[in-house]
Amino acid sequence: MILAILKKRFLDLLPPPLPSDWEAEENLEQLTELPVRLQDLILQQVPAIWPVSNSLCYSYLACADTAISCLGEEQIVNWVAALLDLYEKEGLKAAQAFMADIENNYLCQLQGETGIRLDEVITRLRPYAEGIVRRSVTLEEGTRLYTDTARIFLPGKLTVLPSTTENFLLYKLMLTTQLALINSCTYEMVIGGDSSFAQVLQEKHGSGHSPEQIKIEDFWNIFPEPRLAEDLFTLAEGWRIGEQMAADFPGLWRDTVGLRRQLAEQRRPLSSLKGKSRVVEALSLYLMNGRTDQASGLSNQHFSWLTNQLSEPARTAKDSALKAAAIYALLNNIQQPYEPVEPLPYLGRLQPAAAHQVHLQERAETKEKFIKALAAILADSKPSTADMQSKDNEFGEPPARLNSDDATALLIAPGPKDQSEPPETANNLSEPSQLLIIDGPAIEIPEALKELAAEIKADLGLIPNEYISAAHGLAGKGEPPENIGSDREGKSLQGVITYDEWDYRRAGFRKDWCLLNEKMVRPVKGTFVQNTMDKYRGLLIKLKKQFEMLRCTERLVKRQRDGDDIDLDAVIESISDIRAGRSGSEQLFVRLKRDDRDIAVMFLIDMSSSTEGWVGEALKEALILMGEALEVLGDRYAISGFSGMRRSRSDFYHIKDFAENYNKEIKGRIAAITPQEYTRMGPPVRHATKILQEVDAKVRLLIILSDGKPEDYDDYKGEYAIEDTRHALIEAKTVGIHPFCITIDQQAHDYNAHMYGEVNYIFLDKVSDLPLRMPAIYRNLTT
Amino acid sequence: MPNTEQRLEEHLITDEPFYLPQGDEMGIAKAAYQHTIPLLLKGPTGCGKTRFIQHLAWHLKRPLITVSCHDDLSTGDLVGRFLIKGGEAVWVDGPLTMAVRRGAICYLDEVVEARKDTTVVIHPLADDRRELPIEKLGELLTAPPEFMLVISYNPGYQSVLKDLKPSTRQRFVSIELNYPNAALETDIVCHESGLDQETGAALVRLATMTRHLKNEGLPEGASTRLLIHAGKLFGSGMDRRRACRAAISETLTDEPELLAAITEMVNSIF
Repeated sequence: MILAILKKRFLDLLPPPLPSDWEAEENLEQLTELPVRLQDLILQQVPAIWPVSNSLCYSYLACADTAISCLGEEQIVNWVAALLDLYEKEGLKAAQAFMADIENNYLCQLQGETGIRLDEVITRLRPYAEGIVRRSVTLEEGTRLYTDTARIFLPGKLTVLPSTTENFLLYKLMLTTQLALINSCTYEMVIGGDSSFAQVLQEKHGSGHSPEQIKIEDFWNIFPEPRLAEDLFTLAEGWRIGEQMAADFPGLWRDTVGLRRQLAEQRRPLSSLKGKSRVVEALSLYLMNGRTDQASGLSNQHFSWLTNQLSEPARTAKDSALKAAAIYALLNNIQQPYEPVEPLPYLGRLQPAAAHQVHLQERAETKEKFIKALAAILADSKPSTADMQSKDNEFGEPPARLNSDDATALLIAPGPKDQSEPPETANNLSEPSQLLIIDGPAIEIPEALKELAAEIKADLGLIPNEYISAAHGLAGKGEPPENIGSDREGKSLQGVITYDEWDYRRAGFRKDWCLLNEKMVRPVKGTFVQNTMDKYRGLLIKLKKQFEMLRCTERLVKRQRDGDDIDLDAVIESISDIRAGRSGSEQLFVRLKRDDRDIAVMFLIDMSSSTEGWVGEALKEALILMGEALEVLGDRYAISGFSGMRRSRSDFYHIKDFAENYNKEIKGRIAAITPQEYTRMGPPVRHATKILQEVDAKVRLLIILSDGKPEDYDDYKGEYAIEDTRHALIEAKTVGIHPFCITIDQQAHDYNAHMYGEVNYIFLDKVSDLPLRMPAIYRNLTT
Repeated sequence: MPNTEQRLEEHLITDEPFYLPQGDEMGIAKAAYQHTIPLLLKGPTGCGKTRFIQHLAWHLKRPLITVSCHDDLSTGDLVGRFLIKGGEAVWVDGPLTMAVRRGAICYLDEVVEARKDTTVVIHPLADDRRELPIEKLGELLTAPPEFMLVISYNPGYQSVLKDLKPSTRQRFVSIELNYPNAALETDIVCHESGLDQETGAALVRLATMTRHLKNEGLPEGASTRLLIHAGKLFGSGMDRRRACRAAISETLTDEPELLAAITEMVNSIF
């Protein structure tokens, strides 16, 4: 309906004095899109509200649409009545709040305030879930109850039971059931396509579809009525999980007996269903209330056969599949087609597709990690001369001897030094790989890679050749030259600054060799910061406590020569000594000692493209945690990033100044840190040194976070890059700055100690440890 | 010194303490004893470090002198001091000196709690010199082969203030104890508290859940010791949920959210 007509109808409903045209139009605009029927319904209420309050009426017009979709059309009259009551009792504000939160305020009242919202209980449920499953699972609000094994979706609100306690218990039952579903590997069920069971099924129901491995959905689809098969399988799994829960969580199972019975009573009466649906519903009820005397429409004997079948002991999901097939076979005799019945309210429908997605995603992540880890090893095994000299190969094809799959083999653990065994291909692996042979000496595989390999094998049964050749490719090329020439981040802050660069070959500086730009990072809005804070909630509490303790700068020092008070222990001891004929101690006082922390620290972040993905996230998380912790501690700190390409463009990104406060803006900038180009370490270190020199503090600390070798697009690589970085760090040291490097890499390299100095770096091979380790490292450094 | 003799007698363990080995820790400890190498025990609180040492002392038939370290522990507290008795100054051996003199096992429990300047007195004792200088007496004691020094600490605290200096820790043979695996832990809980296997296993399951809560702000979950406490409360007929609350949830944390979550775990299991 066009606005003009709507306005006319609206104004016709009102007693004088009428509102101005534009006022009416402004408030009616949002109704124009609605169907006429709803517009009528909404306008019908206007005469009741307008005389009470014009403002309330406008608020009503804004909310009415949501209210109708939430409450249903027939409830709107009652809702308006409740609204007016509230307005008269508590005023406009209360009424507006009431409208804003329709679901909670009105539906709860309708149902006698027994509901419970997920956000009320999630803080209790989250750690509960964490305790039960090992893998990390997030709880989210969803329209349906299900899990994709990485997340569990729970309804945003539960009102089905008469008391809050019971509704909470239902939440707990739902959550525990979903967790048990994850723990009992339902979604991992695979039946071999050639197994006798599968063949019998094919022959009997055969829909012609016969994959090699039958997964859950394939299993359902074998049957002419997949939905019936699904529901039967889900029931069988429901029984298996129920048994498990009864064993593992007897308390919960006992507490929810009544609740499950009540839920059973709330379902559609059996008499309203026919045929197969009725039997399936009867079986559902059996699972919920344990009664075998359901009016299933079958003879008692038949039905008890079914319940016995369902209650057979089952160890795996495959057993459930067998049961489902057996029951299906019996129900198949009933002619009418199956109409789906409601799933068990605490189990919901299985979502194998969603679980599969998660599985694929995890597989892809593992693959990427594996390739990168393997590539790092392969790259390292290259003779180091290649670094500086073989420029032809820089971005071209990797050398042939590295690219041949035959030359590379992951050996079955033959004992660490046994190289006489013929190399086997990766596909034959049956045990975790121990050694890697690449055209020469065997290299021991780091633990992390071994774990990845084992994970992949558990998933796929073998390590695909593709993974290994991809790693070869990556190793041969060095890091892919992404983002070349892109200038994505903010504007330049000031003119270009030049820095010298150390050339070890001439043992001198190349004068004014590098040009450095200071740039600003544009903050981004998003959930990254909040997610990080949520993810490390526990750690943050701990960190803050720990850092608070560091801040505690006053302490009593005992046994001093002079001080604020007498040290009684020392005095007694001294007297005893004197009596024993020895000279007593003269240190008889306690003194209150104040230690001032006068520390300025700059975090210098490697933003090269090689930090993409695996390093980047953890790095940002670590910075957020450090920010929170340092706020408690009160040390001055700055955060900067660096990247760049060629000597003509070294970028130095400002994320936080010493003078700036840690606030939303800064957090947004941290979240905005994105991998850029190359790692030319010298200029940014020199620039950071310059900035730190201007800061007045007793201790000045430069913490550099990097992910490996410095390397630029031009000849800044290999020994030259290492020597220049080393020299820049030495320069920093000579002006009284303590550089410290945290290097994140798959494995430690010999050059690290040389480049950073023996005690001035720490090596992390698990990037996920960074958020945990960085505050600890900082604490160690500054105490 | 008859006095010392008498006091040492009290530290001899005559009945075998109950201990189920988690791995080869007994073998390592015995070998270390043979070669007069001191021992460092690492492990979370309540996982059986002290019990292990008691069992070792019983096995070696040596008296066990335990010192619980704290941040006010001074060198005098360990080595000994002059006390005034009836107007006369009398030297009294500290626990460490007593153990060295008599060839006992000296166990410094939670050694990281002691001040760093205190822990250095064990340095000459912990390397091949095996000497304890007693400054005030002008004496230098050499430890007999029967003497063994054992220290323990809990690496879980992760505090810079409470970490062993490398120069201290590198004098020791280290044994890492952790919470035993589920089956073993069940046996231990059942034996110590007299519960049946099923209930014991349920307690262990609860403990495992609480030990997953590291990221939620619970650095250490329920220890074996807590389980035994809970089991004992069960044994005296207390309502199980109530007993778990008293012995486990409330003991682990004060944070309301975590407390609620642990209570839910308890309610799910019992």
